Amino acid sequence: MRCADDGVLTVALTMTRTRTQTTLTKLLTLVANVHGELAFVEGWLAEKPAAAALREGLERRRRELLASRDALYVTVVQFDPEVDPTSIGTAETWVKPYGRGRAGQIRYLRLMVTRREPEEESSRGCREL
Amino acid sequence: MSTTRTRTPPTVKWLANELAAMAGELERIDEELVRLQARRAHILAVLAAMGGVAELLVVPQLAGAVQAVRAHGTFDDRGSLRNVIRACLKAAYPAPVDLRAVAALVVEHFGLTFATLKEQQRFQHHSVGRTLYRLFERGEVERISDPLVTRHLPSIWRWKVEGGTLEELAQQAAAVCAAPTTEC
Repeated sequence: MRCADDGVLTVALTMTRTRTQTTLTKLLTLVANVHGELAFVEGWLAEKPAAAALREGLERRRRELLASRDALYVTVVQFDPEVDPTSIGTAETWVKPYGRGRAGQIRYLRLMVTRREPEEESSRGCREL
Repeated sequence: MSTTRTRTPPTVKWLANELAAMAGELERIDEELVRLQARRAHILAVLAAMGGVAELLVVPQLAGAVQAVRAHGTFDDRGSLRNVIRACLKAAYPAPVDLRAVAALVVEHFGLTFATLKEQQRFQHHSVGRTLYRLFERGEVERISDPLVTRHLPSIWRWKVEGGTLEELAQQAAAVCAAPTTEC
């Protein structure tokens, strides 16, 4: 994969469709992270009283996560029909950009209100890939 | 005397047969269209889903950057192609099998169809040939033909068994016979 100066991405394509363990691991990690974040958001929505703006932000994030989860499920089954993506557990790597602990949670919830993506994610451009 | 004809005139008979055959082909086309429409809808859904995953991987432009490739189909589970080729060579052992025969068996096993002969040859070379070479690199099969000598002919392969090839066994037998104390 190459990214030209003008930001145009080019990928060398092949006729064969080699599937590697690395790809599977990456996909399953993404699913686990989405499961983890979804559990956090749903847990917060169910158990904690929140201001209307925060609740709205969390609801919106929940819908995004559900869409991502469905897209990942389809992709994982496309990769290997024998893998059951619903049986994948949760991972907490998604917390990393916000920081761990209570401070990280507060940062995440603030971002849900202001609807800004975490710095680490938004700053990654084509050149870093 | 009965005036009922018991024999259909050949022209009517031919016409009836052709009408039936054309109607049958139309039925087949309609069935295929239904299948293709369902397949098209499924592929569009998968494309949309994989585009979403590209965004998760922070490569949102990926879906737009790739051009369509008429790629080979996948073979059921991972490693299926390799396993079918292994089974083919094992079943034929000790006889060798050429690339064309292995490819024909794979095509039959997976029910593959090719639009052109070139596409079929490409599949034979890229998918089957390379899988055989990978098995060769892993030491599971041996190459009987010499690629330098039979460059334009299909390569010939044989399952490799522990204990050496037939040539090695022949050499061992010759060595035993050549020993002064052994009678052959």
